[in-house]
Amino acid sequence: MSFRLPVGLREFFGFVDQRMYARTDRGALGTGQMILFDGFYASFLVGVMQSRLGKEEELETQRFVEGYPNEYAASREFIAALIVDAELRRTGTEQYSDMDFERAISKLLKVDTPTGLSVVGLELANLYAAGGFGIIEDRLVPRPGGTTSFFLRFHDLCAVEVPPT
Amino acid sequence: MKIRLLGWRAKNLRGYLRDFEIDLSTQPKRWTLLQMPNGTGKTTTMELFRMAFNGRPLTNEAIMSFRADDTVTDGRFDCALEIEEVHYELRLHFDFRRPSLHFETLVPSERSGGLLKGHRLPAAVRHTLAAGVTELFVFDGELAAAIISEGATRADEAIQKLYGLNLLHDLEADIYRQLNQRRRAAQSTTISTSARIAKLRRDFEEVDRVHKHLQLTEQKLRKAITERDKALQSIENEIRSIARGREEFQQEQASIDLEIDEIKRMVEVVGASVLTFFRSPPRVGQVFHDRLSRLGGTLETKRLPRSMSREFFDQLAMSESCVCGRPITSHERETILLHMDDFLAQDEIAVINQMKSRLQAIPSDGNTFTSNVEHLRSTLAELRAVEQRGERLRQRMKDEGVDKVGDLDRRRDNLKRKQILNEEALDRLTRDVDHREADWRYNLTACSRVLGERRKLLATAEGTYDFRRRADKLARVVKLAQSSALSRLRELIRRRTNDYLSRVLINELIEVAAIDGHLRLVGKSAFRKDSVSEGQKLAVAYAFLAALLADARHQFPFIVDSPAVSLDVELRRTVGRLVPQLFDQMLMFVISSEREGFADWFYDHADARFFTVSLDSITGRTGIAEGVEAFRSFHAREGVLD
Repeated sequence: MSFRLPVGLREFFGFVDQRMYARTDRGALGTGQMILFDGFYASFLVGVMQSRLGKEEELETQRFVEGYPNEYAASREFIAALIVDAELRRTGTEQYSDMDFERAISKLLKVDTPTGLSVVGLELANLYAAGGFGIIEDRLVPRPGGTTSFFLRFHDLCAVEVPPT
Repeated sequence: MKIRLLGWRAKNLRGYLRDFEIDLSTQPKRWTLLQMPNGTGKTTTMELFRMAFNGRPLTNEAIMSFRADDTVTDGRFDCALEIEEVHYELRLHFDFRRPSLHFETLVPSERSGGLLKGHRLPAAVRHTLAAGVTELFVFDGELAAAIISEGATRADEAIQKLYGLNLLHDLEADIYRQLNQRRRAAQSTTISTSARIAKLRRDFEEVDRVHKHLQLTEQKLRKAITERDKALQSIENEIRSIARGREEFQQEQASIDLEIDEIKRMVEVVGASVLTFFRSPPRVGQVFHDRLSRLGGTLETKRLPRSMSREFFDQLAMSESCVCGRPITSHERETILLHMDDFLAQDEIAVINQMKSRLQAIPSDGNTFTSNVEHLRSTLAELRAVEQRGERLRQRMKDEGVDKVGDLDRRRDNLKRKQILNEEALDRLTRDVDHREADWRYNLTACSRVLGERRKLLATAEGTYDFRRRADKLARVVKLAQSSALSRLRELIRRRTNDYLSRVLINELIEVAAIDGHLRLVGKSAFRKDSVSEGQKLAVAYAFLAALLADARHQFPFIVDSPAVSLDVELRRTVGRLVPQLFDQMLMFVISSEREGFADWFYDHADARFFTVSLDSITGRTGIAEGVEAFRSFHAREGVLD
């Protein structure tokens, strides 16, 4: 089980020859080196923020990456926690006993996987990314042409999109 | 494998290499400097080293070009190496009568007596050399420029060759070779449908031709855009230099340039922070921070996960008595086993605890993605304001009759218009559109899709569809493995290059921002790449090579011709500080003018060895003197000993 990218994400970020915005970001001012996982993660954030689960067919069939790239090593538990939070929020926990609560969390995590996520947890991460990417693709029109422009507009998108209560 | 050069011998070869021998096997040193006047065989020796390592045949013309003169009938070049403590000698025999060149390899430790026909280095070394890596360690100064220069793909090529990624290319080619074989076999057995197949083939070939044409158009457009970018930058520089050359505008232009440099530097720093904070979920936005804090709080309040594990109750059920001392009867045992599954297993508890402990340490120092984005936004606004000042200054210059600025401005506007047209054309060509809406004859993406469809139809008709599908899948996997390995290696080598640079160019802080085909440089004191000096470029190229070679499967000796000849004394010192520290064994061919600033660094080092080659202008014979004194005092004029 691996991370899988939403269909169209590579194209949205102009990912060619292992570079984001490879064809449009000429001579732009640097916001460091964006990697493909940043695109996945941005989509995932919007997906969990909006509790928007995408569909299986909105994901690429091929595997993307098995575990977290080095840049995300320190965020592993936080990302897992966002999935847990989104899932508890989606399913509703008002009637949960401590045992139910524990079970619901434990279903999503697994100690000996590269991501710390279970199959179910990883699948949810992918589906939230698919859902979030739908929103990004819809709102960021025309597409940003470089990393700086992406981050500025992604920030605005997060500020404008009010999360459902 | 570690490979050391132990010496070489040349006989009857051009460039005064009639009878030339250097032995490095006694008193092996890290650095060998060989001072040779121009025309005494430096370039030829470099070529011979490349030939010896490559082991490839030469054309007759190339063989004859090594002949010392018409009186000799054969020539010889022997190169002694130590590979993992085993002695090898590569021997190149030139026969100028036929003409021919053949290789022998002497391995004294072999039982057979050790003289083997052909180029017989250990297979692993031979395979690496066959990929064409020799130019990386028998180093040509032109490679340094190519590694740095925009658009060149030499840095990537070097990585691919040295780390064997080209083998994956070969594998991909092999997959398709087998597919073609299968296709040919299928065609010969389906004669009844040959007319249909011929039609499908024509359809496929038609779109294949268009596809190739569109790909070529795309390449041309990209090249034109890159070149126009450069032209625009050069106009910009020219206008700036005009302003800096006129007293009335000088101060203002200098102040604008300075501010632009500072702001750009700031954009880079803030931009890097934006990326860092974006990658940290609790800092990326308040909503995420709150959710994570709340989840951490809930786990804390509910005291979850509970500390009792399923394994604990499993063990308890098997015990004679409880921890409190009461005996455990079959009734208690059944009850414990019945409720045991209400508790999590130890590993489940551990993973929740891991998450919980991270949630208890959520940073909340106000430094967030948002604060950095705002900082970036305001910095970009400052940059725009200063750029506008530049525009106003330009207008003033035009108003005050600096004609050349007007001309340059017009040229710039003209170029910009053309650039926009090219960008639009490129967008039309590559835009991803539904191919029902786009004509595949003019849109590359649509054309690629149609090409795939027709290829599939053809393959189905030929009975090779399934094979093709599997071949494509395998080829995709191979490609993915290749690009992913390349990407990781780029990053590894980039970091190591920067590490080397930071140790040597302490005050200059220039670094490689990315390796993508070539090396992209940034520097704190030199934001614009065009302000990176030649010496710095050369230093980067050497650091890159050292980083590249450091973790490669084999450690080769680094052989370099005139490492600092094109640099002034100051720049030589820059390169001279860096180069010696990077390689375990270095052989440097230098001329007398390189002593100052470069070779003189080695004079006090015990791990350096010096040879000086002189040429007797009357007999035409070369003499070799060893030692630092001869090296320092040697005087040459026009390549001839004074």
